[in-house]
Amino acid sequence: MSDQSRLRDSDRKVRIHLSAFDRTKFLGLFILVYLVLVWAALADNPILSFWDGCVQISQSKWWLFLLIGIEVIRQLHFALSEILSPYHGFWQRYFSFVDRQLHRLSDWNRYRLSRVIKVLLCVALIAVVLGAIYKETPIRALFLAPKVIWSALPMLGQLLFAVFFILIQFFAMFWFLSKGGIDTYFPDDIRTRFSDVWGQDHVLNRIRENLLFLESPQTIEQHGGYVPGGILLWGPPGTGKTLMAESMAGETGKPFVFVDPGAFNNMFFGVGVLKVKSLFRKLRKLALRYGGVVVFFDEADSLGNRGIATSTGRMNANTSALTSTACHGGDYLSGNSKYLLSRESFVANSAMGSGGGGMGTLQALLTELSGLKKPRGFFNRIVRRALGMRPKNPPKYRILVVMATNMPEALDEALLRPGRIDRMYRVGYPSKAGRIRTYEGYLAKVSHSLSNDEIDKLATITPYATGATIKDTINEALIMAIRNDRTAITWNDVIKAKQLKDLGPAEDVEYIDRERHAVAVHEACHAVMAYLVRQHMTIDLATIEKGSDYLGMVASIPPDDQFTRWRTEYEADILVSLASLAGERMFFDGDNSSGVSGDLESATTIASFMEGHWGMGQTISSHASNRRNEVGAPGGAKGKDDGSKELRMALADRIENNLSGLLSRAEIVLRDNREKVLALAHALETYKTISGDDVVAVMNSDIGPLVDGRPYGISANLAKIEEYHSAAVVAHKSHLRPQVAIPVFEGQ
Amino acid sequence: MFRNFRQTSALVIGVIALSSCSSSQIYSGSKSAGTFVAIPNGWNKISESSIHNREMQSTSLISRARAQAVVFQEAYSFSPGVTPAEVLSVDAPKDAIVYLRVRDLNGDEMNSVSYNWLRDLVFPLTTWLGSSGSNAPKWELLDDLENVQKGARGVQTLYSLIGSDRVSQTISQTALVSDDRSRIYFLMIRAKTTWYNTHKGILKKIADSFTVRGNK
Repeated sequence: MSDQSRLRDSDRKVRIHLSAFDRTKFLGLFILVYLVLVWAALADNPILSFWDGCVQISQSKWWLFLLIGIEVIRQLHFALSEILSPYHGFWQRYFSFVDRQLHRLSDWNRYRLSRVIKVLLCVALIAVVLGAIYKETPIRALFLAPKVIWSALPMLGQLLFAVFFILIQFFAMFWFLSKGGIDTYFPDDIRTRFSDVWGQDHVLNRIRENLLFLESPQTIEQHGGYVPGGILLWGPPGTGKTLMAESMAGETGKPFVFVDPGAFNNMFFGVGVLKVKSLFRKLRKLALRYGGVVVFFDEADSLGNRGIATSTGRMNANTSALTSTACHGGDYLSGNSKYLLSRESFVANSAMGSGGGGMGTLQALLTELSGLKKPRGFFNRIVRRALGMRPKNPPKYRILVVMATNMPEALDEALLRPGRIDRMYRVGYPSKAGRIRTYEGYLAKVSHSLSNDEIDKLATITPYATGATIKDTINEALIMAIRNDRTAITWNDVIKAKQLKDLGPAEDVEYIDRERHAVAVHEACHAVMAYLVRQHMTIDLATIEKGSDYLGMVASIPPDDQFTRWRTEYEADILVSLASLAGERMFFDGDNSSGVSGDLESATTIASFMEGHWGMGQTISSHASNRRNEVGAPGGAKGKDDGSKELRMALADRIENNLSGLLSRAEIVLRDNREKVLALAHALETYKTISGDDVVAVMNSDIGPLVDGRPYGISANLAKIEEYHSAAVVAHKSHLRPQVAIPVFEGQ
Repeated sequence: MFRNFRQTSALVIGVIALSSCSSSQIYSGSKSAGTFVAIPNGWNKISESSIHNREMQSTSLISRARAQAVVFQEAYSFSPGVTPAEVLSVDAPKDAIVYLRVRDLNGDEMNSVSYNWLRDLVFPLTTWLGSSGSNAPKWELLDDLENVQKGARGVQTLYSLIGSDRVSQTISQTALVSDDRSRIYFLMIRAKTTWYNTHKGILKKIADSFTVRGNK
């Protein structure tokens, strides 16, 4: 194979030889056209002979021969260029000269020239076609064209009408589809005020500030700033985001536009885009007329995103088939631990997808949010420019965009950038003071007998209560009171309502004796461990009444609003989780039920984060960072695959070590408090559901609100409980009824 | 390359040579009228408009109405100088005349169409055939054939007669009516009998080329 490069075209002495196809293709085409024309003539005249047809077409379609002649000359030129180098060189020089002459014109002039030539060619073609149709010379036919067009106007009118009619149908259909889902309220239409929103004062202050800027933008603009145009309210459901928006509508002196969550969900492509455009047209109009407007997108996550993970919800993904019939292994955990678990489930259950309006709706919204400063209007943009005038800049549209969501992760990043959403406020769970204010607010609407201390206590034992849940609890308490032929709510009504809301209605299922005892021991282990080792949470209640997705539970609450967590607290959480496994093994001779699955999952998750993220384990480096940077685990291999494996192995081993150690500690604690566990199990079997104070009463052999714990301080009683337990263990092994009935003590 | 060049050149030369030739005969008729006839080269055309103008000079309203209903008509004569009047006359022509005519029928004509009606288009041949003869001129029916074509059917009648000019002429008359009876296709070839007998082959070829694509 030659190592010489292929010659450049400019270095060739002669032209490259054409292939046979390239040499004859146009001639073949012309001959084909000729034969088709002959065939058409023969079809038109049945007595015409082929020869006479050829002759006729040759005479009538002379231009075809002209084209053939030109093509022949062209091919001759090519053939000579392929053979004769002087001939080829002459033409190369000539073409170079022509190119140089042409390039003396600027690119723009050459473009305009080519455009003129194209137009002239089109006119010529039209003239020839018209000439052929009207059997006139092309020039004359061209002058006849206006007359022809005039005579064809009626038909053109009909066609235009048909087109117009079809367009009208489309416009009408899309116009109707692009309506709806948007409500406009004017000042004083809505009575809700900021004073109706309780427990979120810090957010309200910020919102009040935004409204103030909207009302008098000059206070910030005359100092070179700009009015923040977008607010995102995010936080758990029921914390009052929508109520805040409603109060904004009530407080502001500007029109308020509510956008329904489903407004941009639609059947047809493009309707969402039209809706967005229609919405912002309306907003601009309102902003000009009233000097500003507030638009509120409720459940903004319905707008979707462009591909990042979204979720079906944080708090609803913590159930599985394995845990559905187990101990409610999460309610005894603190809020942070619960959040951790639910976030893990969130990540595990997340699916890729955009959801939401989709189909360009989000993009249209992004464009409208940042495209407000462009010149607008046909007259402004087109007519003024045609007259040589610059388009006027649009006036400052004072539009405050407020969005609310409980899934900020589902929002597109571009939506949240400054300039679109300038401020993001977390509307979290209300503080204790806020909860007290909220309870007071809702209780003020009903008749009740709760003292201030009781309200304070209620706020304490409902640390994650939101405005919505408080309202619901008070309403449930009122229903209970009415059911008992009362109109005033009592403390017991509120507590029962809270339990109903927390746990759901009991299923009224009666356990068989040995299973009831096993469940009671399981929950008693949790409760005793929680009482003994966990100082940052107090027990709210313990129950063995079967619910829809649990057999029993120990629910805990934080006594204070606390924002930092410590290793000892997480260890206490794990100890409480592992208490069920340790207890079952201890009380049932090494056996344990599947009911510990949820507890183990909780313990493992917390232990994983302690070990890999929070610096509460044997190593210091962050597992998240190590994985992200692919640097391997401490002491692990550097290879990507092996390193990942090593990382997991090392981490898993460390987690297992930690859990094993904590399990041993749990076993020791329970062994040391065996009598307390059995006493509490007895109380649970006797009363089914007891409060945290009752648990304390049993532990201290004291009198509780429901349970009299004093009998549990008597050794004889404890011996009877132990005897009953032994019988239950035998029954458990033999699957029979316990031979000893559950002891009943005086006063119980 | 040169082989291709030779082939291409031969093709081009052939096509160009083709364009310099002329047709072997004259093709009269039109696609829109649905009728075609081939006339030998050299015959002289008498234009449609001149025939039409001549016919419109008639004082007979019926003739003028029929002239208005003509879709296509053309005439050819063997020798030049034949006038439209001679085409439309029933006297024996100096030389052969071929007259092709396509005309829409009116309602009465559509109702009265028959083969005999077609035979009697120029002369009342069927009447003459049935009468004992004092009123009929001296004539002789030479041939009478049915002619069926696409979308049309009719009769081709060949006869000779001696008219008022006392000259014997032979007429080949082909008249077809469309299947929907809306249009009549008519070809008449006339010549003096002596001329006809001499050039029978040519005239028969013209008559045979008469092709109709009638309305259905």
